[in-house]
Amino acid sequence: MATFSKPVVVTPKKSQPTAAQFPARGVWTIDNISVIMENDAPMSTRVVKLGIKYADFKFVPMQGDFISSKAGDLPLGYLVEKISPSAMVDFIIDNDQPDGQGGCTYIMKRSTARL
Amino acid sequence: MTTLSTYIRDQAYNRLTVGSIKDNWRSSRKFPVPTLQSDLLPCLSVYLMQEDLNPDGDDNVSVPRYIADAILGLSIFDETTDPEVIDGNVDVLADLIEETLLTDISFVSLKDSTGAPLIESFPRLSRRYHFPSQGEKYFVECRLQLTVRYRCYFAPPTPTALTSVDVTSTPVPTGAVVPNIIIPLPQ
Repeated sequence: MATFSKPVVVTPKKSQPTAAQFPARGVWTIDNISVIMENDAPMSTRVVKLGIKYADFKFVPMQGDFISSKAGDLPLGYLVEKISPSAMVDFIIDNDQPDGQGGCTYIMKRSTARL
Repeated sequence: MTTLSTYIRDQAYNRLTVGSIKDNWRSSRKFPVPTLQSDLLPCLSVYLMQEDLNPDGDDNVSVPRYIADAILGLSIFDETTDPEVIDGNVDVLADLIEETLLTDISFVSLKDSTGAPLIESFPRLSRRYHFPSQGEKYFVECRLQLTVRYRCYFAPPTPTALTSVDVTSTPVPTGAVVPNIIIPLPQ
């Protein structure tokens, strides 16, 4: 975690609606998958995950909270659009998967509008 | 699949990818390959999903004759940043597709290669939604299935078809020959 984590900004819109944004760290991972559409047509997309350590958080983010990252801190090749490395990309937590050992993987959905 | 079903699919596709309606799609396609890329959404797909041929009249009379039901799959696949409005946009687009096709007299009264009316009716139109749980964004697919009914006959090839009968008769026991009564045969 200390080696591979990248800085992120948590906006606890759901878990603490009145609280301010706060910085945190997490490890981004990307899985390439195909979503099957009508007529068994495949569409290529990705599953974006953020791994965190509970001990790093005073208040743990939950589903519906937002997490933002600089584009340059995301895994290489994730963003195919032309975007500045310093631009912020917003994600919403869609699901959390605790690993039972003090860590958790968040399944993220990109909430930044089409670039 | 018969050529007529493919022709109807192509005619529907052509009408949904010209003029102002095409501005609603970033990509459109008639085949489920190649793999769609996520930066090409919203995507319109017009597929020929299925074709069912049911007997037209008694099934052991004359040439094979069928009532064909071609099922067109019209799919709108889009993404959204806000799950609260995930189905609103595609719902509007689905209405637009229905209106574009079913109010277009040149499609509803489509002609075949001989100029005869092709489509008999649109007996069924269904709409379903599909929300893939995985992916980098929230995705939604609206699936329209439009059944198009037409008649399909399989007449045997007859390059020297019998079109008329030329009859010459002679009354018996005696009489003058009555020449050339030509009887045209219905085709």
